[in-house]
Formats: sequence, structure tokens, C-alpha cells
Amino acid sequence: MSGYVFDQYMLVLIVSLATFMVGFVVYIIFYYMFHKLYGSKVRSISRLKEEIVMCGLEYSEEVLSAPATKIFSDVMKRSLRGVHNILTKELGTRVLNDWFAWMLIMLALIIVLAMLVR
Amino acid sequence: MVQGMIMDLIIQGLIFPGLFFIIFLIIFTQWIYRKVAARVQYRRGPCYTGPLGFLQPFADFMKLLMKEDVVTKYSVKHIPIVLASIGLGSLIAILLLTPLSLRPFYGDYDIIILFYLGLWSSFAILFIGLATPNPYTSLGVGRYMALLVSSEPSFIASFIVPVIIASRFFNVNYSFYKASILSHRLWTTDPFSTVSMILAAVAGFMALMGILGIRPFDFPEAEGEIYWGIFTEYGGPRLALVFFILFTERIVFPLIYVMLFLGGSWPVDITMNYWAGFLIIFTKFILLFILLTIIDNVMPRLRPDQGVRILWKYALTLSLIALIISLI
Repeated sequence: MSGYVFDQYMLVLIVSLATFMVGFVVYIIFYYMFHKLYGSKVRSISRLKEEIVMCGLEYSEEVLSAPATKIFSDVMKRSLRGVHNILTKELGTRVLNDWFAWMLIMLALIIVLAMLVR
Repeated sequence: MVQGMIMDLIIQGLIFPGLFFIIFLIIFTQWIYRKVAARVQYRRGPCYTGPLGFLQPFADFMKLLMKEDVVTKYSVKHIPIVLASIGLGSLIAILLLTPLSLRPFYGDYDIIILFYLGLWSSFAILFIGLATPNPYTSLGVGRYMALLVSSEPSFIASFIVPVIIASRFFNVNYSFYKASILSHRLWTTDPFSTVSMILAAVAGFMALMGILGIRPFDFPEAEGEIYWGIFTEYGGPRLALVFFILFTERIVFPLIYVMLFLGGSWPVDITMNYWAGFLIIFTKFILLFILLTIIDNVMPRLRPDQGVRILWKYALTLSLIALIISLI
């Protein structure tokens, strides 16, 4: 097989280098250069452009936002309602943290897999 | 030796199978996507820009790049662009670990590096969303987080199965590159590996759809419902970079699927005849891409909780069963 064979550490270093090299070229060509050549020339300053799209609502100084973490946990609770009920009501993890219980399950899973591999 | 390696890294990273090849593939695959989507919806699709409308995706991309860069005053201005560029770089760097690379970079346990690189683009998209304070963006980010947490475990658990089987029977030491060259032999090595490959292929396909946000798992964007979710605030060159990441994901991850589950370059050995092997992988990838496009255009969108439940219940369960069988 032709190519370059490395150990894990060197390979991580090389692919990270490739990542940053390609990322740098993308930034320079597809953002900086186009911005300098075209974007900056068609710039028209307007207060409205800098405000948040509120779909017909009036603009206010208060930043309106739904916390992403709440939405995430809500989706997870709704999707796994049965498991969530067991975790919160029967195991009483409402006192602790739901994530703590999740991690315990993950740890148990890893132990089972480790025993299987052994 | 070192100079040659650096030159290979630069040429392969920037030209083939790197950045410029990916740009060509994005134009080609997006043209296919639009034509197939148009056929499904009884339209003609792009026709005017270039032969058969082939250059329409490129024209749209250039139009976005040449627009004014508009950012709201509450948004983070520079870091999303930097992270988008790095996310894109990580996806392209994955190709250097594959047999598509003329002189690949590989080693033992490189599958873990592949998963690590694959996560960069997802985190970049997450941060791009979090960088703007729009409520619809937050809704999109929350949904995207739920989708990622549900699809990534099954993606990793199912995509590692062929590598485990290859390591057990062919001593490839968890190398993705070596496993992808042998992948056609993994289906018939032994009855257990056949079963685990079938289960992992099904679970991997579902996880792939989740990661790529293909319907029915496109609820983080959900145009008619939360405008455009994560990308509501984006336009111009920023949106062009976001599209760049999304379309690159739709090339790189299906390519990995082809190399691990669909036999890679089989019936040709890519190490013996590179261009024939490359052509076969490319053909298989295009067929898989067309299948994903048809699914994306005929399926309805699931609610976030329904989508997440399906991924946990079926994709993760199947992938864990496949993983356990492959370890027995």
C-alpha cells in the first residue's frame, strides 16, 4: 500500500495541520478576498439591517431569545418520555441531575461492553 | 522524504481530493440534487446556466459570495467565519485518510481521528447558530443539539463495526484506510459478521440521514415552522460558507458509507488500479446521493421528539446490537 504511515499522535498532528491549512485558504479566498473585492463595494449602511428579524414585531432593546439548552432538554424529555419518567420519578434523579443518571447508564454500558470484549 | 510529504499534503489538501475537487463535486452533486428534486416535483430544474443548467449551483454560490456581509449588532462577528472555515477544512482533511487520496495518510486507530474530524463541522454549525441571538436561531440550535446527540452515537457505533470486523479477521489495527480497502470481504467473513454488517448498514444509513439533516430529520431547519432555524440570520458570504459546510458534509459522509458498507472500490482493487477504483467509488457515491435526494424530497418532516425517538429507538439499538455481535 503506497502512502504515509504514522502513529496516532503524528497523524492527529498532520490532519490537524491539513485542517487549518484548508481552513485558512477557504477564509482568505471565499471570505476575505471576495469581501475586499465585491462585498465592501456594495455596502450600504442601514440601522434596520443590523437589527434582529422579528417577523413583523416591533424592535425592542431587550434581546429576545429562547435558551437553546432548554429546547434541547425539552426535545429529549418528550422523545424519551418513558425513560425520563423512570429517571425522574422512580430513581428520584430530580434531586440530582438528569445528566448524572444518563452518565451512570453510559458507564454501565461501557462496563458491559468491556466485559464482552474481554 | 519530509519535503515530498509536505508537498503531497498541500497538493492533496488543496487540489485533489481536497478543496478544489470538493468544489467541483459540490457543483455536480447540487446540480443532480436540483434535477432529481425537480423531477420528483414535476419541474424541469436548472436549464439555462451552463450546459443543462450544470453551472447554476456555482452561479448561486458566487452570487452569495459577492453580496454585502450583513451582521446584526448583537451577533458575534468574526469567530463564526473562522470556525466555519476550520469545520470545512476538517471535512476535507478526512479525505486524506481515505483510499481516494493518491498518497493517503493513515495509521493504526485512524478511525478515531476520522470521527474526531467529523465532529468539527457539526460543532462549527452549532456555534454558527449560537453566535446570533434570534429566537428562531435558538430554537434551531436546540433542535440541532438534540439531533446530534441522538444521531452521533449510532453513527459512531455503526460505522466502527466494519473496522472492528476487519481488525479481528484481517489484523488492520482499527485503521479506516485498510478496512475500507477490504470492506467487500467483511460481509462474507463469517455468519456473525454478515449479521452485524447488515444491522450496522441499516443503522448507519439512518444515522447518516440524521447527521445530514435529510428528511424526515430536517427539523433543525424546518423552513415553514421556525423560518430557517440555525440559519435564520444568515445571508451573503456567511450563508455561502454555511452552504459550503452542509454540501461538503453531504459528500464526505456518504463517501465514508460507500467505502465501509458498499464495498468501496470492489470489484476493482484501488491500490492496484487507482483510477478504475476511483470511478467505481464515485459511481456508488452518486447512486447513494440520488437515493438520499429522493428520500429528502418524498418524505414528510417529523416533529423533533418523533425524530429523536426514532434515532434512539431504532438506529442506536440496531447499531449497539451490531457492535456487540461484531465483538463476540
